[in-house]
Amino acid sequence: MRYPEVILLCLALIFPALFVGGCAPPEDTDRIDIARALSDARDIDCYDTVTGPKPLVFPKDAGPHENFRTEWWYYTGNLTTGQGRHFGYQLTFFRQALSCDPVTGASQWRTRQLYFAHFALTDTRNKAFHAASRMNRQSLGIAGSRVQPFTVWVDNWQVKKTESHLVLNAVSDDITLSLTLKQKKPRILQGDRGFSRKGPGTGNASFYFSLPRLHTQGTITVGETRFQVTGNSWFDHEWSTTVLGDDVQGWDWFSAHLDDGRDLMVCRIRKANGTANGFGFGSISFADGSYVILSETDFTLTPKARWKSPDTGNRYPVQWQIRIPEHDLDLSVTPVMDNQEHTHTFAYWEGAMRFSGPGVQGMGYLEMTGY
Amino acid sequence: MGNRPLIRFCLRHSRRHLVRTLLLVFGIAMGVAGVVAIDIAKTSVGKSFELSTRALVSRSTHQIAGTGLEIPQQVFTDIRTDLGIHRSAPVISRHVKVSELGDRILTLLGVDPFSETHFRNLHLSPGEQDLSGVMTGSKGVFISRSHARQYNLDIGSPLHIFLGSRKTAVTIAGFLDSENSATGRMLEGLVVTDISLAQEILEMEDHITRIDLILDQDAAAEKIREHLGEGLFLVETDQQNTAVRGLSYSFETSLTAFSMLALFMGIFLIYNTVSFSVTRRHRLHGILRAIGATRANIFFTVMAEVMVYAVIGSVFGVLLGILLGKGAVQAVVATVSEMYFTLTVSQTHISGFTIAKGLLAGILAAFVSGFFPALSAAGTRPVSLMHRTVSEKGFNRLVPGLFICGLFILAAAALLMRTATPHAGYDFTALFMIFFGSALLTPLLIRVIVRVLLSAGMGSLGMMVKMALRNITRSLRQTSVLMASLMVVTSVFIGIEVMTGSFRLSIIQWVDDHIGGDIHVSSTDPLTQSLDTDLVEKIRQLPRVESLSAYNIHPVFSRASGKVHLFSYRSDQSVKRWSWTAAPKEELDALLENGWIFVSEIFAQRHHVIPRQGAAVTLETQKGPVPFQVAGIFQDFFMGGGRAVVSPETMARFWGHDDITSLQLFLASDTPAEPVMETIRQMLDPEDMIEIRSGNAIKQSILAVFDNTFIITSALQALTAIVALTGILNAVMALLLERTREIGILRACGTLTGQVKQLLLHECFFYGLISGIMAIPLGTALSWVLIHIINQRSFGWTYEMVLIPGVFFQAIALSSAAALAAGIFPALAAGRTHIPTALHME
Repeated sequence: MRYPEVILLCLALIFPALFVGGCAPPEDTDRIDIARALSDARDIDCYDTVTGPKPLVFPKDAGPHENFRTEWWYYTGNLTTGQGRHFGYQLTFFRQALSCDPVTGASQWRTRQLYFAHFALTDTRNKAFHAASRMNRQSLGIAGSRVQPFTVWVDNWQVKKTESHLVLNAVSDDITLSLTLKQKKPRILQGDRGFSRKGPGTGNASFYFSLPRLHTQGTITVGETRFQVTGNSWFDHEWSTTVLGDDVQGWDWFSAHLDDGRDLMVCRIRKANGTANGFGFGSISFADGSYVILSETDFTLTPKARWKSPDTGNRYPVQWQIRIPEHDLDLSVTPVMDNQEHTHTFAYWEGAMRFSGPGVQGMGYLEMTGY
Repeated sequence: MGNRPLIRFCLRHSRRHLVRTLLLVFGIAMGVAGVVAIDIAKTSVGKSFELSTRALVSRSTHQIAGTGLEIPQQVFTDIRTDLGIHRSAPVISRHVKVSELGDRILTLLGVDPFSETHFRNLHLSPGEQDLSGVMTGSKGVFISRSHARQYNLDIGSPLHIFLGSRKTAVTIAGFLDSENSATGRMLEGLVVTDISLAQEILEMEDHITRIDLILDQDAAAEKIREHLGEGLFLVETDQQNTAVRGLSYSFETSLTAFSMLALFMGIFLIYNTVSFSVTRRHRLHGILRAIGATRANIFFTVMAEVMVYAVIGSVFGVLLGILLGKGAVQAVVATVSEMYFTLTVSQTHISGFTIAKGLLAGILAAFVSGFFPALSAAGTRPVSLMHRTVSEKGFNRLVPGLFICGLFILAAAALLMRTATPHAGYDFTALFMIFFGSALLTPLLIRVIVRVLLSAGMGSLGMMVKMALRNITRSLRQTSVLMASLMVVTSVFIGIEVMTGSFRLSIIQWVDDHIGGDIHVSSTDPLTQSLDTDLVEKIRQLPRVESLSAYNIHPVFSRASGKVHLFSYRSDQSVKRWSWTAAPKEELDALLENGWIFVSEIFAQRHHVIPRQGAAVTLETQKGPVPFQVAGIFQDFFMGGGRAVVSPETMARFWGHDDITSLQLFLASDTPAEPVMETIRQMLDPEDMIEIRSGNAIKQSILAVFDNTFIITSALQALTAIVALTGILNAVMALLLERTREIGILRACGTLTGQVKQLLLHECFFYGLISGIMAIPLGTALSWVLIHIINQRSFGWTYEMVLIPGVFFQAIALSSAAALAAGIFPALAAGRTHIPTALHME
């Protein structure tokens, strides 16, 4: 589960600043109420909403769903060089519809779809976190997504499916990512056959599927230095219109590739008072590709230590304990480095994590918003 | 002896001669005002240019442009996705008018908000806006908040954007605002839209105007160059801006020079006044020296007095200059907009530097002009109070030397003008040298002219006239300075009159040569300028149409001047006056057919075409940069970066235009134009945006544009005249008032009051007459310099000097009348001379 949707919705709210002002964040960014943004229900009647399960069809559902307001394709992974040097990466693409009315006007620049992308690289040895973002309209092929062959892109940041694998490319200043991802396990349809509830209200849900383990190899360039890397990636694709209910402050989302072949995802949604909203969710994919869906009652997430961002002043709980008794998992989760905060437009923390518990180790990602 | 009591003494003295003192201050003030006003106009043009273009070019280092001033939008996609150049922004821009915003020319700027991050500072004012559908289909535009307030417009108010006579209705979606006042002004020149709406308004289909880029590596620029197709190219923003900005530099420099001319008149004036004042106090200085004042005391006293008035005058001058500056800004901005590049923002910019410059100019001028009189005052001998006649004798001996010296200076000026590196600074230094050199010739000339007048009219001249003429040579030291000043002023009048007169005649001739047709048909729709070929054919076959000149005009990109206009004629009926041709004139058309081109003088100047065999110029075409052989350079007043004539085949092959955009119809003789125009009008659909105008109407409108160009020159001419006349008035008054004693004697000898008045007025008349006569050759020389050197370098135009005898008569009348007017007050005063008081001085 990913909720960078908040970012998208808030971006939509501060659209005045985007338009003409460019995508530089307005000065009062942090005063925008995220929960209000998420529960914003202006002019959404004409969008499709997610109200119940429906069969997901592939490859069609891998592509865009423009009748829903928000959509994202999310790639995160942990990679190492031959010498064991670790890198974490995140490359995500978001689609946000500006309107559900059809576009009028003759210009091909007219569009009702915006695309955003975030790219981050965690260079663990150098304790460096590189993050960049891109934003564009879906006009003239500057940004967009398509089903056949599956492609999603903003400028020259791109993920494209070839016959056997996905090719992922991104470059920002002197950081380059060029990876191929090969699917190792069947996709997980999260929630009820892909229908994933996030809140009590009608429509507080999304369609959501994951590719839990993508074997990843390729190159990373940092400055002049090029690294051959291998590792595992996690992929989420999710679309919705009114995903969160009222009174939501943020969420904490974890994914992990464990060395016993299991892949874990758990997430809780926090209310304004800091408690879970009761619609937490998760999944465990087993080494053979079979999986189970978890609900909030199946796991506990306990924050252990906080880190205060020098840039935003936000205090993120960067160390956690995850307990899933039914599956004998008691994992202590620590970041490869503390500062993996995205400070562009909207601040959130998303970074590479180490997972360790009795008899099991792993690497994964943690995303925290609303702190 | 301390200086302070002496200075007080002198200041008291000048307080007693309040009118003269005020005139001195006024003269300095006017001179300084001219300099300040023009400097304000110039810096304001610079500022307006910056504000008008900054929003457009923003922080871009490079731009991708196309030959036809537009590029395919797909290039932007390639730049982003293939080349991955993130700091790039697509731009559509074009000048439009908005009826609800006072019909001013504004820039319609279409941008992609997502690409703007690195480029423009266009902030929406918070709170009120209607952004729904800005990208999805609305016709919402953004204008500056101050503009909206000024015209009482609100969110949702309808606006009508006019491009020629094409009209598009839009609504206000939001306001642009800035806390920075300069940025605020910049925004006033804009109508901002999403790029989609701008593209729709301008019907650009799949094209945009350009792509702005920020490239920090040469490698990136190289990569783009390799990628760009034919007809597209990468230009450096700064270089391009400088090229466009440079179009008006010479014009502005010439304005400065004209303003310096006014100041120069001021220097003459101060010199006159101070030297008269020194002469007047000759006796006083002698007494002061006798009671112990040193030479230095006297020198400083005189200088201090001059400087006090210089400072007062300069301060007033700066204030007056600021007032006049606003008018000058309007006039100069209007001219620059019409002749060179459109300024959508007109910003009056008054810098501390301008004020300092004005003050300094006034003070320096006063210092220079007061120095020699002060030196001469310091030279006063304490014991024997030298009589003026003694110094006149000394001066008379100097006259031939001054004459030779003047000739040398004139020769040096001529040499300077022929210098290999043309520079407005050199030209105007030379001009000042001409004035100064000519002034040195005046004493001898005056003597000769007076002698000629006396001998010619020996029998017929009355007593008073003869006396008046002799009086002139008798006090030659003073009268020659006065008359030299008057001569210079009159010559400036002649120079500018002849220049503008010749220019206007040339323009009329040029308009007749190029717009000889009786009827003109052209499109008023800037988007589709092509005329329907059927219509052209129908018009051609109209019974009274004897012949027809069909051609097309297309603006194309030029690295040297931003854009140039290309013309190709199906049948060229215009008469060109050639500055240079590569072959005999009858062979030129054949060269044109072979792909050679004709270029206008301005084009040649901007593109550094040197008139010699093998001259070529490289132009950006749809097939990339192509060198074209220049067959000839023609005299032309076409504005902007100039124009070139190519054959229709060349136009079609290299720029892709084979249409007809304009027609000139030549009617059978004695056929009135109006009925034919009416017939053509009836051929048109009501919605056709086609303009049918008579040749006369077009000529009038072109002349009106050029007349505007000279508004500022005329204003400077008037200013110069005011400064000069103030000087003359002052000098004549000083000269005549000083003759109290002489007049007392005359009166004592029995001269009647009326006769004294008559004598003085005669003298004044002759000052004016002789100065006017002397001004004729100088004025003629000046107009030659203005036309053939200064104007040619400023505007790139050459035209024939036409000497109009009427101007000379006017000039003589003017200088005589001015001198006569200056003499009225002193003459009246002289008439009232109280004989005993006047003689008491003995």
